[in-house]
Amino acid sequence: MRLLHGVGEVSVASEPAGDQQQREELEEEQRQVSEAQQGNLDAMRPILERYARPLYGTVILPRLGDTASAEEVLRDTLATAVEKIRRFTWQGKSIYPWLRQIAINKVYDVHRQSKRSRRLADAMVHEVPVESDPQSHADAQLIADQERRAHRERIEVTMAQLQERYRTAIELRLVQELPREECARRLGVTIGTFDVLLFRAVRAFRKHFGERTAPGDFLGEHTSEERPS
Amino acid sequence: MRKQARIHAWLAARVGALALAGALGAALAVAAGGACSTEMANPPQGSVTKVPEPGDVIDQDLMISLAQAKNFHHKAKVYMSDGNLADATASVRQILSLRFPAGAPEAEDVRLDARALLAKLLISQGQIEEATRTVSEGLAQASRESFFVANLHTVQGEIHEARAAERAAANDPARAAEEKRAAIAAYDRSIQINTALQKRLMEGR
Amino acid sequence: MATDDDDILTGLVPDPDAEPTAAERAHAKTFAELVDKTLSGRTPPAMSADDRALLEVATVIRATSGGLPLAPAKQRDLIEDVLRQAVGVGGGAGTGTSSGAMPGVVPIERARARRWAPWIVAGASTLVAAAAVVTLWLRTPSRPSAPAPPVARAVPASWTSRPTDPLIGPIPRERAGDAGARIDYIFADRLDGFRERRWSPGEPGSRGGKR
Repeated sequence: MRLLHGVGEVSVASEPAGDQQQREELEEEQRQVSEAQQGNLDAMRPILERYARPLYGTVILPRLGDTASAEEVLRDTLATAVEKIRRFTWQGKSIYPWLRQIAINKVYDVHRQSKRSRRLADAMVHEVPVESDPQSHADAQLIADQERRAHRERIEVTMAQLQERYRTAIELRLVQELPREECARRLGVTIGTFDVLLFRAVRAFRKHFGERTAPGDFLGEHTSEERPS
Repeated sequence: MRKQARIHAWLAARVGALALAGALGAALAVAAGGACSTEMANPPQGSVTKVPEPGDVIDQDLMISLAQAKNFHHKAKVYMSDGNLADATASVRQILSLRFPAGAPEAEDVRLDARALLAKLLISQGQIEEATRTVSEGLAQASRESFFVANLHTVQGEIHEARAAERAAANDPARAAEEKRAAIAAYDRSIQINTALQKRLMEGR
Repeated sequence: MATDDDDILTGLVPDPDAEPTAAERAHAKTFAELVDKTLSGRTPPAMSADDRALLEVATVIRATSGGLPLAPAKQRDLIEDVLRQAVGVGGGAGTGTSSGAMPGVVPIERARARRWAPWIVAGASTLVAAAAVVTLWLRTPSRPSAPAPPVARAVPASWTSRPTDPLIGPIPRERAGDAGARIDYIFADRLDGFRERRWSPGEPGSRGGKR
């Protein structure tokens, strides 16, 4: 299934498609939405296939931090979208912002059940422009890329606050996913010492990450015109 | 016409079924005969998939035993929350009677841990002698040093502290001092085991 | 698991060069093993609340670095599941018969085929049965040969019954009686290994395939 350009990829957006291609893709998406709204729910399939990965990778998982929960939330998001597709009003831009809002609401439903994780949720919320240029059809790509960049910036800002060895421990183990033995070797320590470094590094990261957000910073994302769920 | 079709179908079904049953019987007879002759020529050998070392794999029996221990602990917790120490004690005792797969290291760990809790419950009910016996038996039965053995030594130290308090209340300072020394020795033993184990675990990687 | 660091999540984080306590070392090792399992896709179902909080942070870092894309097979299953439920709930539309025939009336050609169909099936069954018997009868019994030597098959440590010391770590004095929490942890860990083994292809009694 052909993806709307760049949205399904995790890396930085590739070269932009032509305006005509984007227009055609958007028209195709509108047709699929319309068909689904008339009762052929299977017409949603290409839409779900197109947006499942960016929803998971840029909206849900970074806010939950748990892959099992993220998969469940993604399932709920897609199910809600299919169930409520008749309530969606085509506005000349991609359906992605609507799907994204459903996903964010679901994520916060999860966090509301756990006060402990609320802090993490708050820390991962930031203002990502949802209202894009009405003339532009690359809404989904733009939003997903912006969101990805915003998450990365947040991580980088927090990492900059850590001591260098903690930063290195996180970079080697969690970003490059090197084995513990290799991480220890590069840092010139024993495995046991590396374990302690990583443990402290993640503790420190969590502390700094949560401290940067004022309470209620997330509310902006809940005030969109229609709350799908 | 319809009746004929139904009769046809009925008869055909019977023939088909008889044919299959007959074939199955014949096939079984052939296979059994073959198997018998094979067996007589080749006595069955041991399993080729047995894992010789390190330990046996986690099996259903172990999971059942662990689940039972978990349940008894949870029961005890509920009783404790009600202040019902007698029933909590009885619940924890039952863990010591659970059967585990032979040789499962988890069995010793779970039992020693249960003894630690049992001893503490007994101390809180003033049953110091019973608590002492519980800990001593556990330490005697331990087949290896473990954090659970270290923990039992910690509880043993607490028992000696409780005795020291009893002796002090009974105006027996000499015995009280003796019990305090024993308490310190027990704590030292616990620290020694923990330190050695930690070192071994770190080096073992 | 319980350690002397009372506030894992909120307490002060020591400097990198500060000497760790035995308890911190043990907790760090437990966390390292959790990260190991998570990186290989085997996140344990149960863990302490503190460990879960730290693991979530680690996952956020990985996800943001692009390290945790949604697997294509998982995406496919999710979407199929969603659509199957949605379509099933909506009911199948347009499922009427394509034939214009009146109900209860069957064309003669079809009736004839219907009448013979059972005999064809019966005949086929007989042939199959006969073929099975012949095959077995003619099969040459396997020549007795020296039995294959037992194969010592290595299995992951997490599948084996083993001491729980590395899992539990040193028990602080104030948690000496907290056996209830420790059995929960032990049980969850062993259940994880048990399930992995059961789901692994080739294991006796396994259901095949990974979770």
